Amino acid sequence: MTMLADRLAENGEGAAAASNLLDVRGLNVWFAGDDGEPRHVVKGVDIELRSGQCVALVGESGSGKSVTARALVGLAGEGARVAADTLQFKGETLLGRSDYWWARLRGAKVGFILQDALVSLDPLRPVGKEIEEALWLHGWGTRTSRREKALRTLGEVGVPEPELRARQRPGELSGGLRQRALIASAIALHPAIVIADEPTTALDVTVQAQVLGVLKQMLARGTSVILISHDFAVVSKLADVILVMRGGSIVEAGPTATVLARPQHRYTQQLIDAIPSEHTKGTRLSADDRPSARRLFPSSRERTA
Amino acid sequence: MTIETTGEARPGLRPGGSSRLRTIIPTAPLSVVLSVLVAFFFIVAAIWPSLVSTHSPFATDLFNALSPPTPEHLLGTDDIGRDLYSRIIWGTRESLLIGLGAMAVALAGAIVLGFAAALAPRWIAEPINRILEILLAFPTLLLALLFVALLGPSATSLLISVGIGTAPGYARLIRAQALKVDRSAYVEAARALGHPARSVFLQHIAPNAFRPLVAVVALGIGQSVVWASGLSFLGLGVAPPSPEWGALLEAGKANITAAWWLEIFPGVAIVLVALAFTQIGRYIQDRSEGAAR
Amino acid sequence: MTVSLAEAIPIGNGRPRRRQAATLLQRVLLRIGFALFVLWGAVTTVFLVLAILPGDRATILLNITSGQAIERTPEELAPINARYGFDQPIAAQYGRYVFGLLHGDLGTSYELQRPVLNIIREQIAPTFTLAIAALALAWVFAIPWTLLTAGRSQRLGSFGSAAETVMAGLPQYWIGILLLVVFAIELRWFPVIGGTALVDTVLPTVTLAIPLAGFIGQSIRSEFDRTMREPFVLSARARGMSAAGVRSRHVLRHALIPAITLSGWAIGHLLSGTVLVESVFARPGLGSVLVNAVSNKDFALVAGIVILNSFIYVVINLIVDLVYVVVDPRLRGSV
Repeated sequence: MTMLADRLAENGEGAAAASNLLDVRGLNVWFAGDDGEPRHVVKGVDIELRSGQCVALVGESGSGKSVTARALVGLAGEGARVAADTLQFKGETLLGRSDYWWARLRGAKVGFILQDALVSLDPLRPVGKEIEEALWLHGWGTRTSRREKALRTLGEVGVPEPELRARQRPGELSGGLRQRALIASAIALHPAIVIADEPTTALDVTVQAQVLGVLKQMLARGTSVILISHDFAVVSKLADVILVMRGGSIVEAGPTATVLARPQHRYTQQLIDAIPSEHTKGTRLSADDRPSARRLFPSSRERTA
Repeated sequence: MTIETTGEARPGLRPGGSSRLRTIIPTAPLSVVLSVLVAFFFIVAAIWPSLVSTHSPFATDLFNALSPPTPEHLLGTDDIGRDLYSRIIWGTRESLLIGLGAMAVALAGAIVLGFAAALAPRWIAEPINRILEILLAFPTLLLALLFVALLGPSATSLLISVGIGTAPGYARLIRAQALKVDRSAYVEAARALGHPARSVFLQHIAPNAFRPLVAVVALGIGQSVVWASGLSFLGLGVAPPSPEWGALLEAGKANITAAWWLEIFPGVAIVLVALAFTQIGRYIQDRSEGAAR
Repeated sequence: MTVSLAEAIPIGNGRPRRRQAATLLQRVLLRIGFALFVLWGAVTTVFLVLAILPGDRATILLNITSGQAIERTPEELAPINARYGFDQPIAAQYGRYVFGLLHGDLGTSYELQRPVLNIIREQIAPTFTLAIAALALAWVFAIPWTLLTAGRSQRLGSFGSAAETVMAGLPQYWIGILLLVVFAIELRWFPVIGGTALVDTVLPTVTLAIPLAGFIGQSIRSEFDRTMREPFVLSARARGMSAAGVRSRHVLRHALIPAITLSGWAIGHLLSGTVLVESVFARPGLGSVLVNAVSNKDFALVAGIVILNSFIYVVINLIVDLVYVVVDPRLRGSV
């Protein structure tokens, strides 16, 4: 049984529901190394995602979380070798699919949000056009109806004055606005799953809260989210399930509250400890409202080596 | 267990150095080896023409005038029966010397201008920079033509004109390199430690600015030969009956409909020299860049 | 290429449009000022170079017009000196020269005894058409070639790049000779000695276009490869765009930008290429006029043509820089 199922059982929850949105078992990714030796970048990762759920992949840079996310949409990169026991979206396998099949899946059924909209959106294009492009790629509507849909989507993510903003380029928008425009381009077709790779990392803290708000709204509306982040604070606000990755493998998995309160792996503990104790507003850990003084300031005897 | 490979075109997983080398020279060693062989052949032809030529460049053979390539006359003959191959071989010395000379002139000017533009005190450097910008606005050929008009057509004037014509381009390179080194951390450290300006220049800046020059010189020799021959081809450089390659091209113009080989083969020689030296220069450039990392 | 708008990379930040427009105006004026400076510099340089020429100008002039290279008596030289102002101090000659230029007077040809401007005007049309046609053809070659071979596999990229390097390095006159021999002499598809009709223009245009396509292709390719690594490419793929679609719809536009600057430079230097090509194909135009002038030491004509070329170069590059602001809105804001 997977680690996740163990933890769920421990908490008294039933076994994973029969129909998962996304089912990943034994995902492995290798890259061709510079010296000819393939690098094993993702080692045996399991992920289960249910409707309306938010699963977070947490870890330091280099842990393989971004590669995992990209492998889920078949964009791991040139020269990447992807293998898995199971890789299924709504029961359909994602392995060995043609480019054409992938092009129909991406954007429409699975959305992808990168960090830093300044470079993740085409700097030469107005953001409205990027959203319309997502619709056009999947044969949605007419030119006029696409434009209206793009404006509506901008409204959904909370962008004021969408008609004005849609005509502007990413460089002309503030950080929060353009990140929301980026999200809009990913959800325009209301995909069932959205994968967000460090969606708040390039933003300052107040803007982070806005973007998190948008993601929360999406969750509330039934979209599932896979959240990639190295920031536990952000993760704790959104995620139902946390998967901790290190060196390509998952070292800990479980419901958010459990992982934060009783981390079983030393690495997880270190990550949690790494959160600055003095947060600026909006980013307090919500899982445990009584931060233990002992955990924050361990005496020399209790400090793990 | 199913395995699949993603084959998207997403270049950039490899870091700079080695893949760039492979991008620029796809079959790295082979093309460079060939280039060295070709260059070597021409250098031998320049130094010791009688070693590789088959006839005297002046020997006429009216019976076989304007003949296409035959076993006896490898590349054909011209309108008074002189063997083209031999003439090309004997012309190598002059063509290469002019190319080298032009390169030397260009380098001399470029070094002075480039370093001054980068490192001299402002009241010297600024005007020199402006002058460079102005010179760079002239196409090489026009600048060279200006001086050919002044000096009259001859081998020496070719040398000077092509040298002056190509100098601004090299000056810009040297200026960029000198600036880069000047702003680097180790020079800053040397200055902070109190080393006098002259020793900083001689020990740090000059050697490092010169390193890419070797490649530039190799690249430049090829280009200079091309330009010089071009000018002779226009009738503005070395005149026939000299076997200098451009002069050969000019001489062959009249008979081009009857004897195509007279125009093609001297051009082949020029192209071979240009390509060979360019290839060698690029290779050196890539290797020295890699070493500097 | 000198400092241009393209090298200042500010990012728009939603400042009010009026402020943006003011700084934009500043930039434009600065750029125009710089262009004027370069133009003035070119004129002065040409004047200086010709002022130091060895040999007395009046003598040369008389020799050219009479076809005899003999010593001249002072009585013969005096009227020429007076007419052309050769006996005046250099500064005065310079002033006269610049003054004339500002009024569109490029001097009088020594040999042909006609205003340089008229001579140029008569001969410029075929040269100009050749240059523009060659540039257009070069783009027609370069864009599909780079689209096909850039941003894909490593092998394809190196192959494409190697082809471009070879093309860029070939001497124009040799390409011209080769094409002339193969297509005009052997295959007889085109006439050997040409006028200015369309059929005569084909081979010269191709000759000029090939090395140019190599340079432009190199420029497009390197920017293309750089842009392919940008995250927005991944975003577009993640929306469902195919690899080919991303290359042509997103990346290409970015990759063309440096090549546009290059084209501006290329037009200015195209005269240099047409000189050689016109000689190979015996085609009338400014190139052959220039070659004649140089071999006859007709300095007035040489100077006039060179200055005209500088003028065109400066103007075209100015236009290119200003066009950049339209193509790349990142340059509209202030730093």
